[in-house]
Amino acid sequence: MKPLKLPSSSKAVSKALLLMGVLALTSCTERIETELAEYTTPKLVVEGWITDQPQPQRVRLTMSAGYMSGQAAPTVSDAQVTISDGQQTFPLTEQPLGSGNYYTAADVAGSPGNLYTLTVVSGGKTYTSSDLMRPVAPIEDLAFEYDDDIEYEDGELPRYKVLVWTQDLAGPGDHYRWTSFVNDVPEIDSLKNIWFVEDLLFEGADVNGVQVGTVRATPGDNVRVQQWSISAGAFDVMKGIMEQTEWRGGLFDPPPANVPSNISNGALGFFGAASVKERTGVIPY
Amino acid sequence: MSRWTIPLILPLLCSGALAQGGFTLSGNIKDKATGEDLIGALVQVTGPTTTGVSANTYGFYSLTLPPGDYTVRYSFMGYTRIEQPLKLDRDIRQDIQLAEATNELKAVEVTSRGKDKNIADVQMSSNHMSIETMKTIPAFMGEVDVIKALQMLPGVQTMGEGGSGMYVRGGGVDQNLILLDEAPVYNAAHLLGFFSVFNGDAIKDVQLYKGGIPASYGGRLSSVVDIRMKDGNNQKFNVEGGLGTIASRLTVQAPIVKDKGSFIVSGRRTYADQFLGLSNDKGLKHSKLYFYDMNMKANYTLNENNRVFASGYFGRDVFKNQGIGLDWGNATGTVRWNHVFNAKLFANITGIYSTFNYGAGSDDRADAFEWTSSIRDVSGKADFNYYFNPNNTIKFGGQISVHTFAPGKVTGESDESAVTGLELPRTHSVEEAFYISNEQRFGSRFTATYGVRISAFENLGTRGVFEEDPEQPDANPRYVNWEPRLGAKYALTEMSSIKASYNRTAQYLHLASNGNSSTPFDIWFPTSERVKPEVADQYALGYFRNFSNNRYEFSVEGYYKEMRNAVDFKDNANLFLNESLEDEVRFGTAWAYGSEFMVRKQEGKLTGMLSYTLSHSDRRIDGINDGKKYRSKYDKTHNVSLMASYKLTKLWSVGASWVYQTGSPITMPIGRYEYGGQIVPIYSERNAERMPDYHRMDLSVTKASRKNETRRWQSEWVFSVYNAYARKNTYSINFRQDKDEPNKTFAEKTYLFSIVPSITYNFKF
Repeated sequence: MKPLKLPSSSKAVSKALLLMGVLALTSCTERIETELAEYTTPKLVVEGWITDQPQPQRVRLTMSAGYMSGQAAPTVSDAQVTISDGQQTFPLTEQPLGSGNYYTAADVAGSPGNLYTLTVVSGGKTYTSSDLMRPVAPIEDLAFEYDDDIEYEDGELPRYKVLVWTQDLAGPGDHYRWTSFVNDVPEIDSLKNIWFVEDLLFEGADVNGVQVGTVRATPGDNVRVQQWSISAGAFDVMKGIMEQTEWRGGLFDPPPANVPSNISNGALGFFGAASVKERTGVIPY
Repeated sequence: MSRWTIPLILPLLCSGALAQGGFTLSGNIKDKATGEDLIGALVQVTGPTTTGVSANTYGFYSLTLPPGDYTVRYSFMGYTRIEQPLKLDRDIRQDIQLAEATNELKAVEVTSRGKDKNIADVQMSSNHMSIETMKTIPAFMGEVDVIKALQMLPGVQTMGEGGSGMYVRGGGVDQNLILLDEAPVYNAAHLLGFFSVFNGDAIKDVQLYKGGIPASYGGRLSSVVDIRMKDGNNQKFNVEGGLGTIASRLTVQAPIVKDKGSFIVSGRRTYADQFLGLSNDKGLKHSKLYFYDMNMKANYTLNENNRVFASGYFGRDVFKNQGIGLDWGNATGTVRWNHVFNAKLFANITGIYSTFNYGAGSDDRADAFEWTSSIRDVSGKADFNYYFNPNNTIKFGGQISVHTFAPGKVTGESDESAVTGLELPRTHSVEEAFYISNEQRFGSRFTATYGVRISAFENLGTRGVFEEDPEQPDANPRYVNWEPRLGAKYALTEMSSIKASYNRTAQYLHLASNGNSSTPFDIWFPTSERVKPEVADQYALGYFRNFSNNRYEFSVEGYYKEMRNAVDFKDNANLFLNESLEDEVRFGTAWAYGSEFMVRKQEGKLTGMLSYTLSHSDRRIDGINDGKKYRSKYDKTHNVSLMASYKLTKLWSVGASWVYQTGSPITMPIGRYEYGGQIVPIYSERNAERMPDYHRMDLSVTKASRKNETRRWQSEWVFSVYNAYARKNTYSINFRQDKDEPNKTFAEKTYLFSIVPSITYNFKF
């Protein structure tokens, strides 16, 4: 994920401070050896979304591990996983076995206004989590602008800023995330490439050509942009994760803190519900 | 004010009444060459009574004595003393001018400002530093820095490299009352703390109180840094300045009317950003980064009994990069009227203005915005010194301040901008205080000071910093705190004494500072219905001993401090533009204790100081670290500072300093999990681990021009080296994910400086 320039995410200022730090001092880094206390109580980790796009909805189950374990997170199989909207219950099955990825049937779609509850039974414990699916405004227009703020290395694909035109829904408390797909391939499936923001400073406003992401593409490529409505809880988790990982290393990092979770029974991670609107554009020649 | 029904009893005036019926010797003590008041100059009399007094911050002194023949001695550190007979048969006004000693004399003949002041004074836990002493310390980038000099003193901790935050006896950075000519300075840092806002050329004198805080100061828990600007030379026109690696300075002083009034104007501007053009980074190349500041002061003596002062400070930091602009700074103003009612009663009436504000903005068309925030103080203050008799000096006064907090306002800057704007509600608060204290001598060995400060705080009108219960009307409780201030000294011998003190302090303004370093974007917020005033109790005990005819001062002090309603922020707190900031605050108790050792030599060719502090501070805050006690982020067990300066010849002098500190506490991860392609850390207890120890040596060499003796133009070159043995001191440790092997994690340390040399050219004419 990238910091949005909208001050609501506070990252504009943090970024500027970081830059100032760099200017003032030419800070340097080097790897060091440290001894960490032993980690003895692995916990269930949930990462899952249900959207209003008809598709197999995915929930991923893994376990936490020691910080220096150096291995991919252990996956969790043999769990019973369901998502319910209060009326219907959708079962999820692990595909393929051992991957830790659980999917609904292919045609499952949520609808805005419903409260979705995830239930996971694993290792004799039951974990639950709920999130309300909020509506999202459509993307009215899209544009791509060549990014000349950065220095390109030889052979690197050009980068384009993704600009959207939309209107924030009336009422405060709307939170957004955007994801871009170049020729139907997601940029990279990582929080690093997802931009998110809250509507604190543009409540109910017309948003005209605000940058919501960056794509590596060549002229003529199709770029599909998704605009998601996420809950405040999801926003806090995503921001918390970035503050404790990718954004660290500046002079003004917040104190280390465990990222919140919306899963019961001591599990980590987040289960969210989101309404998604898409629009596709073409990178201009 | 009618709510103040405090019986202002002066219980001990009666016992002092015995000494009535004498005459009063009073006056001002000034520097002969510049007309500057000599703060703390000593007046000693021998005769029918043997006693003494030191001049107050305006150079005024008063002594009431039985009639008779005396010898009066006026002295001040680094000045030639004056000793003269005096026949006291009426009230006498005697204004004195002391001349600065020549260098040769300084080494032998000269008495210090009461050589044994540290033994004789009842005040403990306090350090005085003259600007001359500060100039002998090797300075980062050659910029003489008041705050950095204070950081060398025992009991003062720092955070990380280069920061200008001070943590005094386990107190936070917001618990220091930093006064510039009596105006509080809310953010003492330039350029994110690598420099402080005080220009060494405009400063006369700095006094730090870590404990036994006099009743005349209040509003912060842990310390007072009382900085006085120069008054300006009232004898002759005088210019001094310097050209440095990073900044240049220029100061002009002149009489308005000789002997009666003078002014000083001093300015400073950095040009570090000129080097950015050399960077290959496209972003940095077109960046701007600089600060400037300006000090001004004028004073005029109307007559023997009335004198007026006006002083001001204005400083600004500016940063611009890729459409984002930031700027911040302080402005202060002070007007003062000294009035001598009679030889025994001295008064000072002060009007104070102080503001700190910042702005941030972006000029991108689609999301252009401007963000501003400020805090502003307007205060009135009256202080009285009543020299009742030689055994009782009574100080009393009061202060009323109106604080205005504008925590944040954002506006869209163009018609196209999507930013609709937001303004957090402003708050107006009133803080009042009254104090009275007496310093009383009981015989020649025992002196006590006892007093009380009564402070009160209340917010005005309606406010909405937190979400209110609609059922409940907005409540603005009024908080009142009684703050006893006690101190005692017992002289064991002429060269040694023991001292004890107790003080309670209350603080009504709190700083929302989340990160490890303080930034200009930290937010000051007031006490309210939910945020209670912070209150501290401190007990201190000390032993003071001088050696070799007062050439060496030694002291050891122990302290214990408890701070209630200490504030901290919950995990993942959101402090930016948060309308319900108070929801993020958590409360608890903090404790600090320690001992401080110091040896200091202030005269001779070799001067210097060695200090060692052994200390501990921790806190327990509801909802943080599962409600368990944890170390404060500035808890450093061992802290050693050594500074020394040696005058080799008339032209050459060298300086060195060395600091050693236990590594800062940090929180390290124990576990991890994956989410969204990131490896997310799971932390154990807060501040349970430590970074590697910090140590650093700085050196400087000063060479005065050979021609100085024969001309009016005086000049010198100062060469200094910061971090002389290039230690890569850890600034922070971060845990990261390897880019090539995403399952791998590693620890990475950030360090800021290796060796940093600098050159400065100073001149004076």
